[in-house]
Amino acid sequence: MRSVKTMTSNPSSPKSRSNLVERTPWWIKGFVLFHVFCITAWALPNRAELMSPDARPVGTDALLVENGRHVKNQDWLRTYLFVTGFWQYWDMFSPNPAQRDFYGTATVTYSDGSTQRYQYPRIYLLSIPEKYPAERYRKFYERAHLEDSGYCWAQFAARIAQKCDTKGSVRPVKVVLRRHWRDVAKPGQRQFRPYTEFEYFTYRVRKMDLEPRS
Amino acid sequence: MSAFTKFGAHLDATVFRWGSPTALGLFRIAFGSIATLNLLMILSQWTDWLTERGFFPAWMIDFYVGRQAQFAGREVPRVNVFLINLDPGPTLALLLIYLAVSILFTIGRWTKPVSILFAILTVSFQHRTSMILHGGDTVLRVYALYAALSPCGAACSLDRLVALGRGQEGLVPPRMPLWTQSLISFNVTLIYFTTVWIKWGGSMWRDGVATYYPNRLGEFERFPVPPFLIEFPMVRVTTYATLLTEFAFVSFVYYRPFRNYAIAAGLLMHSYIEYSMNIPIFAFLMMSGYLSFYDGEEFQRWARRMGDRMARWRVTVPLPSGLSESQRNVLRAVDPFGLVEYVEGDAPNAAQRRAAAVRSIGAWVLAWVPGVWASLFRVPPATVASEVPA
Repeated sequence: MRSVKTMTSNPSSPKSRSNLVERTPWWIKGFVLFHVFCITAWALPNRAELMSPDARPVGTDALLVENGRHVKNQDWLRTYLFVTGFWQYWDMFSPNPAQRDFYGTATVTYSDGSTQRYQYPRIYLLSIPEKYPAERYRKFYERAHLEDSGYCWAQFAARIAQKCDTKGSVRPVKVVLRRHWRDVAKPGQRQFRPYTEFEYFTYRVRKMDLEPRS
Repeated sequence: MSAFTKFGAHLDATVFRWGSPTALGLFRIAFGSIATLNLLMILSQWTDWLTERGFFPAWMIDFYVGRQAQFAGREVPRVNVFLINLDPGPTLALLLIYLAVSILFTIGRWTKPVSILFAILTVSFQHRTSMILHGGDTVLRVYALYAALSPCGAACSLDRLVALGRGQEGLVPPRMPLWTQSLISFNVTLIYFTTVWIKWGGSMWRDGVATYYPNRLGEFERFPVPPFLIEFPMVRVTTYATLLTEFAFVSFVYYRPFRNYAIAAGLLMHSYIEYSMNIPIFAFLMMSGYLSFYDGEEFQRWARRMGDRMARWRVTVPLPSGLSESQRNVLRAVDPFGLVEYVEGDAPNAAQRRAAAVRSIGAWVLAWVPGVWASLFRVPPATVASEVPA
């Protein structure tokens, strides 16, 4: 998508080269305006992040409510952003930063009755060079451990079984997923509370989970 | 002319200006390098995120973001070439192609088709791995799309050197439409604008305690931070400084006299976050986006000024008289700081060629390839023959 140069005088004359008019076609200008409108409308804050549902919106909040009601839910807007890949929403550490530390572990039971604790990659325990790439694991677990991500849990446990399938003929038969969390103490309070833990899923390992996929 | 019309004309002249593509070329190198490193990191974990036996098999996409977008009640598929074949072999092959494309994009070879392919692969990759994405990935995807629309290969690229070598372009890069550069800079300000708006809606930011929390989350911990920086009153300072920096960036970055201050504040903020918190690639991507706030001509002038400051490292290298103009242009183009003075003489020896390569920053990408750098100092056979007396 490149704009065009148009001649304003005789192109054969050397002097005319300096008279080249650098003009951007109207349709590119139209596209830019459309694009700026779309990404701005989509990136504007959602009402839920700024105010309680029963609060009466005033000022800029009213603008955001109208944007959410009449613009963000338009099919053409969503299609443009989601099909092209220009969708974006920026809410890093906002409206308030996270205050809960969490990580995941699993207990793997083997066919001979022995058990092994599996530590899902935890940034806090890793060396500095390992932390950087391992962020993907933290991000995944941030989403996958939630109660409404139950669809992930069986696959998550099966993958852990594969990773722990290192004892030859003694195979993993059961995986119990456990989440651990601790809220950061408020300013002025001491951080002495230990991590709370909860077994949230038990998975019976199937033979096919451990076979290489054909 | 009314004030409104004047403003519109000024906006039109700014957003849709033409000029040197050097800033876009530098942006391509910076952003492409980060994207390549990011891909290398993910390649080390690819079986976890991109295979059907991994943590995130393709069927989970339907539950997490869906494979389709809606349009007029119909489902429109999202771009995702990683769904064509889910077997590990083809998936790994596609990843390696993505890596090769990313490298070609960074060095700027066949940039137009490569940048389009890079954007398609980036969007596809993010649709495939949606559950492991963070803010940095969104920046990366958006940049990739802008790069595909832009003439980012017209400067600071192998394409440019090839065109110079073939005599298709002159020493000054051709002027290009820069509306994509305007969109990149707008998108960077949009990030700060909407983020600071949402933050202002959060009680912790208003109360000046927000930065107290992330510094105490073990899962974000990175390099050690002096304790006083994460205790009061510094927590209030860093909380309000973050809000102020983001707001000031949006407000002042387009006003030339304040632009460098806004950029410097942004660099400081991101550097601190990058040092103290484990949030990969985001800070570097934001910093690379800052390049779009400068014109290509400004970078060229800056390079000349830097070259003058580094004058003590200048060397003089002889060039044989039969060398073509296009070869000379390539040698000058890869030396933006002007640290090599080429004079007529005999063919340079290996030490002189090496001295020229070390000082020519644009040559670093090709000088280590055996024979390439030396060939630029070699008189073409046709020229030699024509000089032989009949």
